[in-house]
Amino acid sequence: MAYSDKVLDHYNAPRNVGSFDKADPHVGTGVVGAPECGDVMKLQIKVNAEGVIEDAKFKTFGCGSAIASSSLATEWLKGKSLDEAGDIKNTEIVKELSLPPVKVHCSVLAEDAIKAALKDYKSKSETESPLAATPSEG
Amino acid sequence: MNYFELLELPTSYDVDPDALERSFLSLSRRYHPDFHQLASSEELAKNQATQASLNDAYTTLKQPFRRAEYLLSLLGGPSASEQKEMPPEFLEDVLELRLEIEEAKESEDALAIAAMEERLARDRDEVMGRVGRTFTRLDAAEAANVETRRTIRSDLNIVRYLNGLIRDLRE
Repeated sequence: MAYSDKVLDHYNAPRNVGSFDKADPHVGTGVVGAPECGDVMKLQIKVNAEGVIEDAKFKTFGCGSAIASSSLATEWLKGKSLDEAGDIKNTEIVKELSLPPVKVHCSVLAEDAIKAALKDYKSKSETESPLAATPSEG
Repeated sequence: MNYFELLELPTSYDVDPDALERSFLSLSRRYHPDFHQLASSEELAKNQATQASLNDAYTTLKQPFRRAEYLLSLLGGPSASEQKEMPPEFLEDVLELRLEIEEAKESEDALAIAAMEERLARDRDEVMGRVGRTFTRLDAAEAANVETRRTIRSDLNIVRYLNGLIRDLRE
């Protein structure tokens, strides 16, 4: 199957590959997989004090479309608020990368990964009550 | 008629491999064109279709993973796409293993590759053993138990990921 130029571009030069410290309270981590094909995607966001995603990273094992979908997702996430990030739809990824129908599930995986990372971040920030937070230095 | 019935075997995960062979061979003979030389073309076409189903049934039931997938679908699922959630720790492990595989392949470390393949195959056999035991419990009493079927699904998903890793190693 022929990949679109945009898929090839992301596949050959994936953006934002890597990872953040999972234990960092400013980091949200989402790990999702597709048992049908064995693809696994890990996507992390780093959120600043204003609630804006200042950085995003991913690690994906899967086909070119899965790598391109997660690479594109990390690009889109940067600079977005948490709500805006939650609004990213897999159909936008399909459109941007011109994914064929058999590869739509790769974009779904990317959307799932975003949602999981947001959920992880939110559950972390909820457990960290402002009253309990003590200044770490002096 | 399901594949078990087609091969005249009880619908159960515990398939006797000898019984499966015997049944497949004798049924295949029954529908073989050599034994139906006077049959109408309509009848021959029907036999051919039956033979095709027998082949499918045989290859599905012979292999434990495919047999388990098939039996779970007969019992009403869930399928892999209906229940894809896996513990994040497990998925992280899969990612780690993929990295290790990539490194071993890049350094062309044949020993490491062989050792990993052995380990993954052992893990897979262990999970399949567990699937077998869960099915035996289902056979006995819990056919309608959704939780038990979800447990089997989760184990079969693990096997899917392990098979993917083994495929990766061999590529």
